[in-house]
Amino acid sequence: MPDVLLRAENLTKHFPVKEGRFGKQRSRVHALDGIELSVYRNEILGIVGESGCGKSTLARVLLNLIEPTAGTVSFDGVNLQGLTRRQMREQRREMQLVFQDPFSSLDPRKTVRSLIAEPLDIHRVGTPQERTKRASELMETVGLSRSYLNRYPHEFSGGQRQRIGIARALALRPKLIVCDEPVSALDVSVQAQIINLLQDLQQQFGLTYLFIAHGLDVVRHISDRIAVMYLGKLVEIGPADTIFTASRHPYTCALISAMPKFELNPSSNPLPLKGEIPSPIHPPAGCRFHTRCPFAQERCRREEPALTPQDEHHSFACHFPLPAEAETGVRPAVHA
Amino acid sequence: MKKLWKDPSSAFCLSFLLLITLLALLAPLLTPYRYDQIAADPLLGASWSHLFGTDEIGRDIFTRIVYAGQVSLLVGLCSTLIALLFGVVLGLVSGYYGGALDALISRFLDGLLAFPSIILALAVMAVLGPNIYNAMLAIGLVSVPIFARITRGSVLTMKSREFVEASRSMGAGDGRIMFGVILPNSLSPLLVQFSLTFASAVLIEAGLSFLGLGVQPPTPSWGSMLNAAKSYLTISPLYSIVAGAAVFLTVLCLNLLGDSLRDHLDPRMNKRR
Repeated sequence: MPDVLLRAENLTKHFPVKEGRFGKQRSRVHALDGIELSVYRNEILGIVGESGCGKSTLARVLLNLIEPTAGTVSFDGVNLQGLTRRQMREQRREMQLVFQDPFSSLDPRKTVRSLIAEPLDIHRVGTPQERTKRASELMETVGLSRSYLNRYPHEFSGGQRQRIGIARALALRPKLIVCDEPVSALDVSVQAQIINLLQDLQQQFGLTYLFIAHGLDVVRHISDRIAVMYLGKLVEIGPADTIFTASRHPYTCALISAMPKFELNPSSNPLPLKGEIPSPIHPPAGCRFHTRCPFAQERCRREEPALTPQDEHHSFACHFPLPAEAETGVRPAVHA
Repeated sequence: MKKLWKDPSSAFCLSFLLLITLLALLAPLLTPYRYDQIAADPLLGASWSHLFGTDEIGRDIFTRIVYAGQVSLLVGLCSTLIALLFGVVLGLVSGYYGGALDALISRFLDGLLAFPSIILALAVMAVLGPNIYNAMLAIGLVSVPIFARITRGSVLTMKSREFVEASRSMGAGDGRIMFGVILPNSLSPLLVQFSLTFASAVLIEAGLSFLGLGVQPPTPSWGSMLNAAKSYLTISPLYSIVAGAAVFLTVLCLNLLGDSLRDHLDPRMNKRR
């Protein structure tokens, strides 16, 4: 049994929204519904899904930046929901967040030195001189010149800013770093550099990543395991190879077929998705994917499929999963 | 700051305010008289020995204007600082925590804003009794809601910014987030308001002194000098003009400075230029 660092049980988050003329009718956005998830120590777990499926909410609930409506998160055996505010602040040393947008996640009035040393300042690690020294070491670690220490974030490019964000996340030597779409705001040419940097750092410091992205192509390269989300639900989770070559959930297959790829003869049948992602305020009954699923049947509209393990590592939530073998013709060809 | 000096109107305002401040600070060196010294016959016109003439009991008006500047600027500065301090704290707390606390603070401030500021200051002075410290408190209290509202507004926009969430995710406490992250990013509107409130504080102080509720004689104040001068408007018009001009120019310059600060600090205004 692998060593579990972070475990989410029945994690649910509903945001109340006011509707109607006087805001009397209260509805709820079902951002997360009953998520069961384990993150193993030293692994990179990729999480993918379309915009609005609850990925970023998941990241924030796992870090207890947002209180879950129901369910618990335990980190290294500690139940985060049971902690006092003070204990939780202390706990944050071990778990850091890298943001999607490096332009808005860095305080424009702070120098790089104080940005990177901010976590050290907050937790009063070392003397101010030691913090500055650590900040300049970290800059080198993430591939920035030490001479930039006294510059302001607006003087940097997007990729450099994201490196600052990563250095800041590393400062306290955390066990877990949650990367919330760390490259989707960057130029394609810079994306690869940042992903490689994250991968190097993971090996160098023995980190655990929860790596969120909206497309499979980004997580494919970096992840040990991949979890696929749809409308607040986990629909499939398994080792990266399995997800790409033997996924069973139609939604996962649709995501894979939506990946841009170079082919001489586009023989494989893509699995097209109809329509838009439904509103999370009124999620469809039964399987949440049935409104867009090409294989949906009567049972899918009535009964919600549970996430069931296929084998030790691979689980999916579907009544009529695609065949495990890849010769049906429906499954898109995937070139490794 | 350099940009301000390049703009002619704000350069004029800055130089005038600097001049007034210097005159007030260096008052004892600039004039041979004391502000309560009867130096010559009453109601003399301008002359080399009495630059602006003398007042109704023969005190040098220039000396009194300069010393009154000390009082006016000091009251203006201190009351604005009081307003800034309380306003910022109230605004930060109500914007950051929201909910019932926000509602309570906001309604309280609405209540304060419902009164015309000079009336409220008058009422407070009537209760506390007229002296210079109570004047600072009263004028400060009157200006608290403006600062609180401005701060609350910027807290509400800043609170949802990602770098604030970033600080929280690193384990920063509420105090650190409010004073270390949100406040430094909300400084420019506060700076503008500081200048504007300073102007209105000088004006209210003059008003209170005019009505005899501010600084007590023989300490001079621009307001009380105006009050005394109005009886001799026909005999010695210079007396009224000088006292009035001191208030008028100081307030005008502070207001103009506030406006150009806003123009220079607000990026949206910059684009339009």
